[in-house]
Amino acid sequence: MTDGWRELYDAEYPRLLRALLAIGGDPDAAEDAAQEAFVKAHRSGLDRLERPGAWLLVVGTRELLRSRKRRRVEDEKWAEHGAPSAPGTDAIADRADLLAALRQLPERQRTVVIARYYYGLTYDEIARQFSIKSGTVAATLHQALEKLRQIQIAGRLARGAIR
Amino acid sequence: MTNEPRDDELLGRALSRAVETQQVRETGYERSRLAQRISRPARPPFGQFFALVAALALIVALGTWFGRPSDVIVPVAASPSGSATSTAVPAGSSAPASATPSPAPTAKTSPDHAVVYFARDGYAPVAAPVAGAGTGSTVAERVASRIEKLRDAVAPPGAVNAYPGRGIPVVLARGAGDVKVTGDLVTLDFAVPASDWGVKGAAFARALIQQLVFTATEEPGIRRVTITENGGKPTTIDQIQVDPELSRDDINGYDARASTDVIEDDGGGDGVTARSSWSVDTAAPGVARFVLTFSGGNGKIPAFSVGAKTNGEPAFRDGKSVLAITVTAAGDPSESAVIDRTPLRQLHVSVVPASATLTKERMQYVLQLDDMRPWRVFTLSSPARLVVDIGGAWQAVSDRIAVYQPTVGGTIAQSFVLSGAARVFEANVVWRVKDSKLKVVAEGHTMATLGTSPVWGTFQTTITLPGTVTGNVTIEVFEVSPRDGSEVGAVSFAAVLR
Repeated sequence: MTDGWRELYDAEYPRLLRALLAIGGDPDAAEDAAQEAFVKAHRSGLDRLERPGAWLLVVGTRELLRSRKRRRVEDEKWAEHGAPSAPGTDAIADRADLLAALRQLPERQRTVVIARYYYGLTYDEIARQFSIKSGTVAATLHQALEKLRQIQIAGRLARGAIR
Repeated sequence: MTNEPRDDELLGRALSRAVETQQVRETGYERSRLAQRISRPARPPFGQFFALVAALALIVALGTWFGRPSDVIVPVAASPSGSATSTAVPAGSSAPASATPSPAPTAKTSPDHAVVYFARDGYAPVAAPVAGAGTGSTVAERVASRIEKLRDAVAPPGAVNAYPGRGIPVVLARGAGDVKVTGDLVTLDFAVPASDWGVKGAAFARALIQQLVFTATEEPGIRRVTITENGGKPTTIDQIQVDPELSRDDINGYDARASTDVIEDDGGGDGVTARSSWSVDTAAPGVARFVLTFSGGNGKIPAFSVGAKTNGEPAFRDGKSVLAITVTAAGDPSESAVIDRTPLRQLHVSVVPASATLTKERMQYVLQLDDMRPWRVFTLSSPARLVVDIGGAWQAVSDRIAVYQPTVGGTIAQSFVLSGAARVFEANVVWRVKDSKLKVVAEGHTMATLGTSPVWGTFQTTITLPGTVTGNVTIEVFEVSPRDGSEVGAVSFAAVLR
């Protein structure tokens, strides 16, 4: 039984931590929420988790967004540092900008973007896990990406990613 | 823009890579909270098997309740074969009260309906006798009389009268139709000048609504109230919209509904004799306690069943709800009594004779109550006792937890006793104390005497807070759900550390 949990942790913790960091921008809050999500999973029981990865993302996100105040402060920090720097920035800076842009989206959009592109969940899975109407998942995603694109740097990076 | 879905996909992939390449400091499994939890479980592991057992027990209990209702509630007056008991029950206790208003409460043979209700902070409304309340020859007149007496009544200690005083002319609209009776529903139409009740604040508005509904439904047979203003219009009392129909159970202040399950146990005590007693506000503030003390049977509890139902009327017309306790024991029907202490109005004690379906003679104790409010049953030993507790402080009572000590808003010492009753999974009662900044300063769990059972258990533990804590604290007591680990049935209230 313990081994099952270790396996789950090793498989899911790294991407959960990154997803929560991307959504919230605060490493401590992300770590806290990720740890808490696993504790909650244990309380539920392994066999009750149909899709453990998605379940952990949903619960972790909820934990993360609970500390709204802290997150807002973090957003402001990111806003300061996240402004586009001089042209010719390297890939790492571009990615940081993209993440900063991500955090300018509403919470719901952020989470759905992560679920779709980082976790690779289907529209139906997202609808089910996040209790969204399945019809609105595509629209939410499209809106989110459109907004990202409007933030110039994101569009530039997207084109850069083709290369 | 030429190919949006493809652009979206590319952008998504770029994002994914950005997320993946963030600088993070990962915590290994060994140091994770999960691993710590698994190696040193704070609480007993929860198995679905036990939840299943609990569910089965409940189904069995419910089945028994519905399967043989005649065993559980046998209205003495309505029972045609109750010859053994009818002489022992006070003659007036089940007599129709519709013909005359209640007599002076000197020789009480039935509950006193010459009462009005006052509001209490944190507890259900309390009845107090007022001379002349409830006079009149019709239901409408008696209801109007109580409402009018309420206006000038002085609240007993610990209660308030939120009815606008003499200076403010909110009265029952005079003339035809101010009090209308339709079945068990009474409509009260008030003359409210400029739609202003003259009540300030949500607390007082709620208190007034409680008082009006409880006072109007004091009339036997009346269960629901509609409050309107100025010729039948819906009314709002200081921004609180008054629902079209209200009963006592809607507004007695408890979040948790009273259980309608039957709680029973085979006990095991044979040849037992029962003696009853009751108290109000003694076990804990707002708690009415009914106790059966048993002798014989080697100190064991006899088989018992306890169930509550709304609407005991007309069989028990003096109670808005009844709580029936049946025990396989001998007892004394002369213990029947008029109590008239909120929420206990009257106690009927009767013998249920052995019959074709009932192998042994039993005793039945029927408590007529002011309303349906959360109740609980537990047993105590040395001597063997069956305890039924009704009510308590709003904030200290949920459907599965009732805290008796400390009291809501009361003072505690650095080291204090937390006690009460619980009906929780595996008897595991979890508690937490927060300081005035809502930081957790102490937490732990304690075992109730019984768990995973329809019958409640009791718990008592001593909590010692760190010396740095002062002033207001919040005490939380709850069950951890065996299903998903969430906190359920929580009670939460403030106390002051002195």
